[in-house]
Amino acid sequence: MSKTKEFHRPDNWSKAHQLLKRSDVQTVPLVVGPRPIALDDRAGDAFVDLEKLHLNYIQLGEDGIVHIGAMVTLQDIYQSELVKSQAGGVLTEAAYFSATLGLRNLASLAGTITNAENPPDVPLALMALDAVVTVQKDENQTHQVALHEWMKDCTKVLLPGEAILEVGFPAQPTASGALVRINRTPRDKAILAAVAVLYIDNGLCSKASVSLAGANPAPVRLLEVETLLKGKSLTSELLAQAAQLAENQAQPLGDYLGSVVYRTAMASVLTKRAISQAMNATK
Amino acid sequence: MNIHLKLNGKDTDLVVIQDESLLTALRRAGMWSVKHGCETGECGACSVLMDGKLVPTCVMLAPQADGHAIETVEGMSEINTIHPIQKAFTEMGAVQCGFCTPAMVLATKALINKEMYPTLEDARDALSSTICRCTGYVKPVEAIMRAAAMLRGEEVPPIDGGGIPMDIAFGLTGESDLGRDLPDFVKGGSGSEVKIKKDVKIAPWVTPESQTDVVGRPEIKVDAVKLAKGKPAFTDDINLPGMLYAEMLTSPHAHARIRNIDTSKAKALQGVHAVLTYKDVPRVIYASGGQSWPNPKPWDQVSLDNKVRFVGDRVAVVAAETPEIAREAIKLIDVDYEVLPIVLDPREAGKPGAPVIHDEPDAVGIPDASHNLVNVVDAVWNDVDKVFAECDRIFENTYYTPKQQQGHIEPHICITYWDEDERLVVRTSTQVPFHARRMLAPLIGLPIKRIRVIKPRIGGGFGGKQEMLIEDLAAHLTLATKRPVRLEYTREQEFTSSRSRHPMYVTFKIGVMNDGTIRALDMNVISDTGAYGSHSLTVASVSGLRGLSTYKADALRFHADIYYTNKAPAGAFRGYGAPQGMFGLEVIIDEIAHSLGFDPLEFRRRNAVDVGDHIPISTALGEGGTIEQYVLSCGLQECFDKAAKSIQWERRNDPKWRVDPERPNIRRGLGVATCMHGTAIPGLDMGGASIKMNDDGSFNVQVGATDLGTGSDTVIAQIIAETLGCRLEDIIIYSSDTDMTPFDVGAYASSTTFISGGSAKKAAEIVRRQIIDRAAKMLETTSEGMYLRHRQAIAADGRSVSLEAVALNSLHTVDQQQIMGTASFMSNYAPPPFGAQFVEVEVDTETGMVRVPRMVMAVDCGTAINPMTASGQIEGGQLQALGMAISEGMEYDTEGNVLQKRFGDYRIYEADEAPEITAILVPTYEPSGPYGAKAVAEIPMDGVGPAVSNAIFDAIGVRLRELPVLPEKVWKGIQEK
Ligand code: FES
Ligand code: FES
Repeated sequence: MSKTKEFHRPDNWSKAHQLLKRSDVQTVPLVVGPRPIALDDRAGDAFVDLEKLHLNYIQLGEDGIVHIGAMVTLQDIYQSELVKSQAGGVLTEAAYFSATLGLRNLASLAGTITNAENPPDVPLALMALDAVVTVQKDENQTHQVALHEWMKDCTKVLLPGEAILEVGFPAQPTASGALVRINRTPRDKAILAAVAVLYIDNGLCSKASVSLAGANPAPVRLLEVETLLKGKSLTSELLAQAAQLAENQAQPLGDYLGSVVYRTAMASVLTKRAISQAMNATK
Repeated sequence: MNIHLKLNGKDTDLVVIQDESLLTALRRAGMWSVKHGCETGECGACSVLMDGKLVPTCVMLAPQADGHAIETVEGMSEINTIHPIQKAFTEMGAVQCGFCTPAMVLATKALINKEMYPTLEDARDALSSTICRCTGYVKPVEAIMRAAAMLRGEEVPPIDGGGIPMDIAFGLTGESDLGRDLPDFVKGGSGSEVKIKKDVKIAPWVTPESQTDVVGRPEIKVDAVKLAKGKPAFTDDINLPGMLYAEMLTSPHAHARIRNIDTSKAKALQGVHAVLTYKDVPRVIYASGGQSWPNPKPWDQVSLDNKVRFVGDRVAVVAAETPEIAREAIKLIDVDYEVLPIVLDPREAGKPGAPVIHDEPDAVGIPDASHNLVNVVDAVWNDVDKVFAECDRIFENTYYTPKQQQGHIEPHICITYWDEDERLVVRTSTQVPFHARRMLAPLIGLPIKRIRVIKPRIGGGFGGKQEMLIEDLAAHLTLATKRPVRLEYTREQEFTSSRSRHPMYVTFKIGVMNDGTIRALDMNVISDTGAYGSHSLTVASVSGLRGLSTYKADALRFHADIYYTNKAPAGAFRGYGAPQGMFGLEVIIDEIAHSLGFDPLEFRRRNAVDVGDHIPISTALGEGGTIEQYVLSCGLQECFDKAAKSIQWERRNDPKWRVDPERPNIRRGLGVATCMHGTAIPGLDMGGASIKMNDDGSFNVQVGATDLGTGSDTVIAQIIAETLGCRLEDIIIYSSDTDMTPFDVGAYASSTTFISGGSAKKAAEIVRRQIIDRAAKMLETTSEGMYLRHRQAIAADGRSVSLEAVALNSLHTVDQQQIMGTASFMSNYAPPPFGAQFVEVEVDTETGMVRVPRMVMAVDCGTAINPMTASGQIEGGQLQALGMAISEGMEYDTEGNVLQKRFGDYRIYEADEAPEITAILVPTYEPSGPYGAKAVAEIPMDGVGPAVSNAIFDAIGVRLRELPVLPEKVWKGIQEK
């Protein structure tokens, strides 16, 4: 007979860490994403509820970083004025499209970036905002991973004993941003999605961040596209080149929602669309 | 462990298991309004307010609620009180099956607490996490706006109006006999001439200005209040002492023989009371479709078999003290499978060398099991080939409709137990309690008289519960354990092991003249019934019936081949073959209209059937025998007029409207489809009703009719109240209990208002006659010219006596008599409702994405007995149909595993993405129906799919002949153009 799984709600990191690092009982942080896993299917023999660890903050630090605690809900992100003021509110929009109200109230940021099956919108937006994940390694130690690295295999990054502390990204109030999606219905999980965050100064793109999901096994930053755009005027020719680069790097897995051919073609369409919408948003 | 929370404002300690869901803990604490619809947080039925915020509790552990405030609808009102939000939901017709209603009410509460002046957008966002499969969200959104106004202290308009002219309702004589104006052929006579008879005697109380008091009015559903208050009304809302929990072991293989099965470890597990396999239950062949006796063949199922034919097929069933133990036991059953080759495509299933799915020798009525051929249907009227030879043009194409899942939010659930008389009680969420009882009896070896089936409220069915799907397994376990047993599907099992719409390839060949006259239709169907033949014959027949009835022609031909495949069986689903047939028909009609240079609307207008027209194919394809059918009432042209005006059909001709300067990749288009359905199965469907009068002039009504959320109890009660001159609240209706109520075939084939309502009207007319006779004696006058109204029996001279006085007189005073009446109703005639469906689309020409901003449907359902429930059916049906058009289609991998096992992946429209939906009622008077009523429940499924496809063609010139129109399909069409 399988044992009842444990539930713990520690009130400080020290206790949490003691629980999480146990090797005899597989112990995992209790987090829910926008596409929840049924309770019976969740891995782990013990759950650690991080509710009391004060990880539900969204704040602009003196370091110029927007800090979002691991347990902040998608609804908190959606409603945050600070988040809305960043890159044209692209993360706000991403939070909204990730889940409906009830799940936005429940799903945490940590839950959103630890299951590859989740809607890609929030990770994509954060990747394009140059987000970095801070992981509490033990009581006193943290380490950081760039989100675009993290998302390469988001279920395997955390080691036993670790928990996500926060996700932070440089404040970007003057950037413009756009999230574009392909799906069956307007709120459906995206078959493909792309985010562009741009800085346009005097008609030139001083910095571009572009992320894309659905055209590769995991969401990716389009670094070649970003390099291409940097320092240039975003002409239609340049956009066409960017789209071509996106298409070139696409290595999708096909399924009934989109074949390899379709996803490859759409990598180009969405990349171009995200950049041009972000560009138009600056006007 | 103990948790402490504020539950509905009260400090509460709960003992919970650490890893159980909050949903389970709350239901155990008596919060029955918290419903189970899935396990993945996606349907929202389990939602509560935690610290004022809406959250799904099925994905939360119970201990997570420790220290928090939890609100459920139980905390919103007391006995005899109702919260304004609950009131608004009942008044606006926002409660259909009511399974989602508590969650919607809580979402509304959370919204209004935050925002007293919500916008429509706020309302839709608030409802977005609660999937409602019934309403299309139109009325729930209106309910939120009304509730907000009520809570702001504003006066809200009364929900009133309606009624139909008295002279139409009661005839000029004041008599309300059912079918008084019918032509002879409907009454069983011969002859094809359609003449409406009129009587010229005028009753004194019937004036042209007077309107009916109850019929035709938007009365609040009789069950709405209890559902809005979250009362324990559903199958699972009881707790029986000693109840065991059942779990099914299902097949991981799409086709395999069970070489051996070892249950010893499972049986040894503490807390397990029974483990049943094919070795333990008698092998009795049956068909699971809930249909009239004798069930259509093939009979190709047994309760538990030594062969499995799809992933999700039954292997074993366990009963244990807790669900956890039962699940654990399932894992301990060792099965040795001999895996067999599979076939998934019905077009391949009949070819030589395809694996034979039903090789068992005892199956009955499979025409060609060795080629997986389940059934063949043929029908012909006149010489089609001869007429084709005379036609100017012939058009031919093939159309595909997918395997759509019913997606009722309440899963299949059944609780069985022995009662004190040692009779087996089956409390089950079924659309067919009487069929279920009859079909169950031989499987468990009990006579019918020792079985009682009770249908409580149902959380949606849509055909999925027109099936005896799990009752036999629960019953076998109760027989084995002598204990109450509860068996419920998980949401995943609803996708893997339940029923669905039959996927079909429909080829239409149509001959026309250059002047736009349709001359001949030839329809060929390949239907995929999956692993078992449930409903396969009749569904395909209805496809033919509907595909070949809508337009006049000189010759018709129908052929269907139905094949087994190694997929979950198909079954009944709202529309029952019609959406498949109508998709092909209405797209090819559009293609023909374009090709001949006609406006697609005008082309339909000129070819569609009208009053007096013969429906010849019904004679050949009718399930109830060869009965001639004619159209006696038809408001189709008016439906076209009204819906076209509403959608602004003329915008098609405005090139500026077709493009959006802000979004150059978008093209707009409009599409239309004609809809024509049936009302019940003529010569077959029958329902009964029984009415008795109480001391206070109220009436107890027992009907076999099965209200699955559509409001049929209300509609039946309205018919009775109108006939007996009383108010709706004077009718206490009890339905669907095989011990207590008369027989009824059940809720399917759009039959309930017409058939069950017909029996209710007949029974009420018997009671009415008894009341009038007694009132006449009390007033010492004649019954001539006497009528019932306003709870009075009123004599021709104006004197009156109250119904209460009549009741007391008859029960206690003179010549004592129980005033009561029982009647049944069957019709040889199936009056078709008509509809016009219009859809507006926006197509993204770069990605192929299709968005639907607006749908309009006008329906002629005769008299809408309750316009609120009727329009609710049309709104909800359109959205369900849009799902099949845009997103809903079950897909399988090459091993036969279904790819969508949860709501999110399957994708049912949510409130904040649903289009604007309009329902227009076009009243006609159907002389064969109670108070002129025809059906309304299924016709909204018929037109959306083709109208979407036609609108896409209008927008971008690409013809989509396959649903759902996933973005890639549209994109490919654009590439190939
Ligand atoms: S969301 Fe919890 S039951 Fe469906
Ligand atoms: S009323 Fe919403 S699911 Fe039935």
